[in-house]
Amino acid sequence: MGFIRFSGVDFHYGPAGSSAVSILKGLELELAQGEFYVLLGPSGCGKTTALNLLAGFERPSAGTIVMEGHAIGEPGMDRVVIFQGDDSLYPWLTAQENVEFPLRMTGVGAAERRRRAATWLSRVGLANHGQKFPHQLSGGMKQRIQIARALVCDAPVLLMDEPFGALDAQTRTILQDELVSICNGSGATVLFITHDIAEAIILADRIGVMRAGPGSAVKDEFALDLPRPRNRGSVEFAAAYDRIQRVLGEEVRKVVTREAAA
Amino acid sequence: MSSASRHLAWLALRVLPFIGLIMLWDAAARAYDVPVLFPTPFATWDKAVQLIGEGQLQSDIAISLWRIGVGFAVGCVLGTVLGLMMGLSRPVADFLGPFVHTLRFIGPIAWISAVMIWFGLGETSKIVLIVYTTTFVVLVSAMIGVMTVHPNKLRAARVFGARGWRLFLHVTLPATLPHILAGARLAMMNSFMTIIAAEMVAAREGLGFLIFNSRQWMEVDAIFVGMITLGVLGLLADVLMVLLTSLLFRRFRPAAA
Ligand SMILES: Nc1ncnc2c1ncn2[C@@H]1O[C@H](COP(=O)(O)OP(=O)(O)O)[C@@H](O)[C@H]1O
Ligand SMILES: [Mg+2]
Repeated sequence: MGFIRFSGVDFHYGPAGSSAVSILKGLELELAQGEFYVLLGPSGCGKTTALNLLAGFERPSAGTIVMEGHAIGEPGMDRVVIFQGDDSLYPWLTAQENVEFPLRMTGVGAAERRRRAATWLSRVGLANHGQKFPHQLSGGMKQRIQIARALVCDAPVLLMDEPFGALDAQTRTILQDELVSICNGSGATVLFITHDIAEAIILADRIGVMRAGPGSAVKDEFALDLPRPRNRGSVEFAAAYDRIQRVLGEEVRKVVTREAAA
Repeated sequence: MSSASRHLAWLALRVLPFIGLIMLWDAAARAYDVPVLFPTPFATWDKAVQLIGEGQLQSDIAISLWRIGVGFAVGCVLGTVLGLMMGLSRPVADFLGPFVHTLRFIGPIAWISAVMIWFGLGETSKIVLIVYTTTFVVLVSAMIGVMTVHPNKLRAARVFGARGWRLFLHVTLPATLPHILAGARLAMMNSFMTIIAAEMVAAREGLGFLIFNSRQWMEVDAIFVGMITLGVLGLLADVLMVLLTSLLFRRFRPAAA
């Protein structure tokens, strides 16, 4: 049985039963415990929406989402989110204080808080930047704060929404490799969203490719059992890239054709 | 460029326009040719010295600043509380919205007559007007501040278990503070404009009274002294606010640069 399971999930904005177009339609998705699942899809297809549903920010219009046998309720520390962009960081707090924030909300004592935040800051390579404010740090460093802030929670599930989407290619590659080494053997179940096939292959145990919206769902799934860390230049990498590209490319073309016609 | 010459350039950039302005004023006053009606900078300076000697200027400054200070402080508190409530609660916004959005276009000057009739010529009427002008500016800033907090800031905190008061204290309030401070700075300027109007219409002391009353005696030099004092005090108040803000709320500076 899946650790997390979406069954027949529909979603549209607005009141239930309204005639608004469905963003998701009949979404089926299953994540095993400890699995790194990457959701890949053309932009606007509903990837963030699916993540928001699992996080508890939105409720399905139909269908169920279950985690360990319980329906998903309010957002909570058992499903920690790393958001797209850096708007979720608190600019009035230093990097260190941002990472301490979740612990502060859960009533962890000051000394313990400081120690755990410092540990994670140094694990994401920000040991010397703890006293800086987010605006004093680069885009890549800000995403590292977000990663540290999520991992300090020791959550069983991590939800990442294109965390490296806004970064330059070099920084992105470095952070992908770091994420692999951090997540390896952590036991966390990860739902990771991206539109970048190479990123998906570097990170995933399994990849789900979504259809172009509206009414999107998972079109095809790919299991990747290549050993980690994975080599971007390997034959296996290229073969996987090619297989996925064929499926995703078709969906992206639909979006592009529709946009050109509109 | 050496550091000495850079300092010199900086000084020149700040001081030269000032000297230019005074020279222009002097030339214009001489061209006007009736010194009593358009006094030169030097005549104005003499008048300032005289008013200070009599203790007149100091007491007018003190009374005007006191009125602004009390009204501004009360208005900031009132505006912040109401603005936060309107930003946080849809029903409160729907209920107060029509009043707020109508009243903020009825400027304090439009209220002077009614306020004088209700509160008389004493201190209360002036302070009420300053409270009024400050409240609406701060209120609108605070409300917009709350409504523009990025949803991901709130969502992140909800993931970490913050709800209700804790969400407000740890996220909404600090995220809104820069807007409130920017609003307060604007409100300070409005207070300076309002106090002069109020003191012109109905007061026996204060800078507005000094300016208005001097007209009866054709003392344009005293009018100039009042106006310049106003500008300098306003500038000092603004600098002081920026300084205090950056001392007390360093982490909340509006546009982090
Ligand atoms: N708050 C909203 N109200 C209405 N439509 C929305 C809202 N947010 C997103 N959408 C629409 O939902 C669709 C899916 O969005 P999203 O899940 O963000 O896509 P993705 O993350 O795959 O790029 C898009 O067409 C988008 O325009
Ligand atoms: Mg998205």
